Amino acid sequence: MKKTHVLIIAFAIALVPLTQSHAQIGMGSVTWDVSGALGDQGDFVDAISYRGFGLEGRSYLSRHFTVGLSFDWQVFDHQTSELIELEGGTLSGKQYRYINAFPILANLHLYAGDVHDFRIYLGAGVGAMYIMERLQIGLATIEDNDWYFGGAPEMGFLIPFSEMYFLVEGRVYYAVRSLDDTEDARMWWTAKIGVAYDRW
Amino acid sequence: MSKSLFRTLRGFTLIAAIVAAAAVMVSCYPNGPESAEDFDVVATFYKQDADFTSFASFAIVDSVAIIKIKGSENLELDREFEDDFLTAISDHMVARGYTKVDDPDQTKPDLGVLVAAAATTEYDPYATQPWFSYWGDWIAFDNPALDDLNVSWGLDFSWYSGSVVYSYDVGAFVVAIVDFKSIESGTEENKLNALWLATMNGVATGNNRTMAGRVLKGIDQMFAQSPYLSKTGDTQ
Repeated sequence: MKKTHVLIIAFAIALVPLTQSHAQIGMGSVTWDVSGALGDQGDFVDAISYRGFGLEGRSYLSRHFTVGLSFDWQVFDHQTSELIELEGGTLSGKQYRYINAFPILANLHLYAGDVHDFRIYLGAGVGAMYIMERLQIGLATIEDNDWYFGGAPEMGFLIPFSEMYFLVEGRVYYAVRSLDDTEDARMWWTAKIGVAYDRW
Repeated sequence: MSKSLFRTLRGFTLIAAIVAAAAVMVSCYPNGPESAEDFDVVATFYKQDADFTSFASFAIVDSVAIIKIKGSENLELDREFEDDFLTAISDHMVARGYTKVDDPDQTKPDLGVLVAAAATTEYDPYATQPWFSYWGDWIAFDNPALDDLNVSWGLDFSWYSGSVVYSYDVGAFVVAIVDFKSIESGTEENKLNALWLATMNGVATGNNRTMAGRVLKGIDQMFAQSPYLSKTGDTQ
């Protein structure tokens, strides 16, 4: 599915009112994501990513419990001139390493605090993640793009201001290509800062 | 306008502004190569069971061989800085403890240093995506003022299509060290045993002096990443 389609669907879920009820039916949010790679992914791109954003829509099942869908895009990039040792040889040159991660997760959240008060929440999401990895050295480019399956525990809080919320959240993503291939897992953390608003 | 709809629209405006800013900030592949030098790559390979300390002398070719690649658009190469390249390679070999033989007809060297270069024009065809027409089909709007005309209007970008071909010049500089000692001893007749191969690849752009500077830097790197290539043992 093209990224454009995914973003349009996320907007529809996050922004369009579903009913004309006076009670809040859910919440939409947009965040700026700061991320850092962990494990083998951290060896490939050893740098903090300040290029990321997320969209999320949540629906209240009760005053303290929501379900929702989130779409994120985090970009990791790292340049290095370290030598690449081969069997009987060595390669040198500027390496441009990139990871573009697109997690699409279904989430559950549990809240302490009342609607439109200061709220702390815990949550977890599972879903699919499309991860694009690229190594460019000289005129050669090596790419590995694939779908992964995984999840992310998260914790955050909502601070009300005006008629919206200031949102701060932390997540750790874990993704594998298959349950038989956990050695090739991808892991990264994300700190999200953004705004959220109730949907009526 | 109802209060809830007003809130939704105000929230939508703020969210849209933030997303637009995020879209500008985020790029799939940021901070990429910015100059031709960023594309330079040096690769070195060596025969792993070779004992480089067992050789004492070397001779180097007196000119750089120009390789013409079949099926490619080969470029003419200028020999303006040829002597500088050969001198740089010789200096590195001497610094590694090997004695240079100037007259190999009189004194047989243990090692032979061969140098070659090639440059071609590469073509990269790029077919443009017809996404303009996709948006044109998707965005359609009715103007109530035109209802009487019974038409719907859309955006038509079908006039934009085609492909673009990029061309760029690529150069390669190759240094090979072969074993003359084994030929002398008769163990490897009619066969040159290559012990070390170094190549430098890059985009061939800029004036001769600039490119020569990059080649000299590449020669330095070839030897820097080959510490085993030494008469006296590992240089690191």
